[in-house]
Amino acid sequence: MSAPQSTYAKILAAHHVYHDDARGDAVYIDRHFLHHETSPQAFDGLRLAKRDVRRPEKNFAPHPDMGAGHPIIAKQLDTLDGNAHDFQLARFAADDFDNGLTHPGMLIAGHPDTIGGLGAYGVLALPVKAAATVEHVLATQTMLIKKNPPLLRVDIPTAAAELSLEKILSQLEANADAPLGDYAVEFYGAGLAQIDMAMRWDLVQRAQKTCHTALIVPDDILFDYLRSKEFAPSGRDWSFAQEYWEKLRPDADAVCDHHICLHAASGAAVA
Amino acid sequence: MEKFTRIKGIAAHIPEENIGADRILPRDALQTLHRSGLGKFLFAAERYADNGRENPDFVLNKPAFRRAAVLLVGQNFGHGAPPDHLFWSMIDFGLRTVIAAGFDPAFEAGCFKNGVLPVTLPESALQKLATAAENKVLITVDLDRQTVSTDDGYTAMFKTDPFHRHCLLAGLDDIGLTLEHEDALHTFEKRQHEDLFWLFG
Repeated sequence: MSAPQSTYAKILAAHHVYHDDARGDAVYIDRHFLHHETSPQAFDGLRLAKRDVRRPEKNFAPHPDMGAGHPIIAKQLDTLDGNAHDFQLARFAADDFDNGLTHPGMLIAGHPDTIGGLGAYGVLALPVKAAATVEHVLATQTMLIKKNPPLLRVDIPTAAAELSLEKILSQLEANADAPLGDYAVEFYGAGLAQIDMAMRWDLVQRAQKTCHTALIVPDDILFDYLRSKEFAPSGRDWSFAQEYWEKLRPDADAVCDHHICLHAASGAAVA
Repeated sequence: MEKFTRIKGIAAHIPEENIGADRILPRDALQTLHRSGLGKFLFAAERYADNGRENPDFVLNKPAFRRAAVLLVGQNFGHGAPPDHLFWSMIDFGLRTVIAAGFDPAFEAGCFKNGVLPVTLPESALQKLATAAENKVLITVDLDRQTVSTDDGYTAMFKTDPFHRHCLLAGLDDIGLTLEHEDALHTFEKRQHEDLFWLFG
């Protein structure tokens, strides 16, 4: 038996492609969300090296009407639009995320501005800023990870009326033993049952601003939310998907690097 | 990435120490949408006067060194988080190798990642090469043999990390290295498609 795993570790393990002593681990990216600032040079690099996008259907460019107004951004979006057309990429609109475009267990890569609160859907979203990394994902559909960020597990064990976003975030800041920027954060526990999807999105988006990445362990609230969404699995596929998603829950005593337990009444206890 | 086996050409000597990344490539150059054509921004603050005219005293503007292929520099060259653009700019100018007594680790890593060869040599060798550069004697950097030699008969040996040497000789960048694992990539995609068929419905 392997060591008990967190959701974070399960998602990474499910996407492991190969290990290389010199360069680390290559993990497979299910959905890559492109950004106008970091992508132009990546496409330029592909052209210079006469390379193609390996899986165009897994690389999403924003619809060109998103973020119009600012002249420089408009020009960058126009460039991205041309590149998306040339390389036949998929497209996304802002509300596609509400429609089940990403679902539990997926490994996502994208600009921090784009992946915002995606971890609320039980996906692991890896921030990408360097054009060279964007180019690598486009050409290989993988990302290289030299060393996984440490995992901070945040348990919210009991439901409590006063459990607010501010409270969770401030307790998180106060109890971490290293700068939060180093951590991947995994939220887990029965207390999450009273946090709806809108608040989950905010929680992850806010947490993601101060840490490496953040996700919420998939649960029934998420499954109910996704059930009728346009891009979520449907019909017979739904039950296979849910069966897979259930297995993403962390094992008992899952390994993590740091653990915080948030008690609504008495504040946080550090384990 | 273009293979690196042997480079022969004039060396431009910039002996000053601690030239930071911002001086080699001004921040403004990062605004570009492209990675080609960046050579004109290399050392822009020193190469051009405020009115945009070339400064005739800067080494890369002198007729003999406009097509320099080798850069000979002081300690700690390119320190301070060099962006990839800096190396694209060097390559676009025609400089694929840089020689010094030692390098800032981030600069050295950026060189290998982007296809520039950093060569570390002792002071005694650097002095010989500086003289050759000033006399416009052609210099050959041979990565296969790991030698730097001048056309007037001087040769110095250098060492390169075997992995990075292999990558440069074969022209393998990060993407090329990953694509060497095509079997693993293909196997992963096939297995994911079978196991998680509902993902692809």
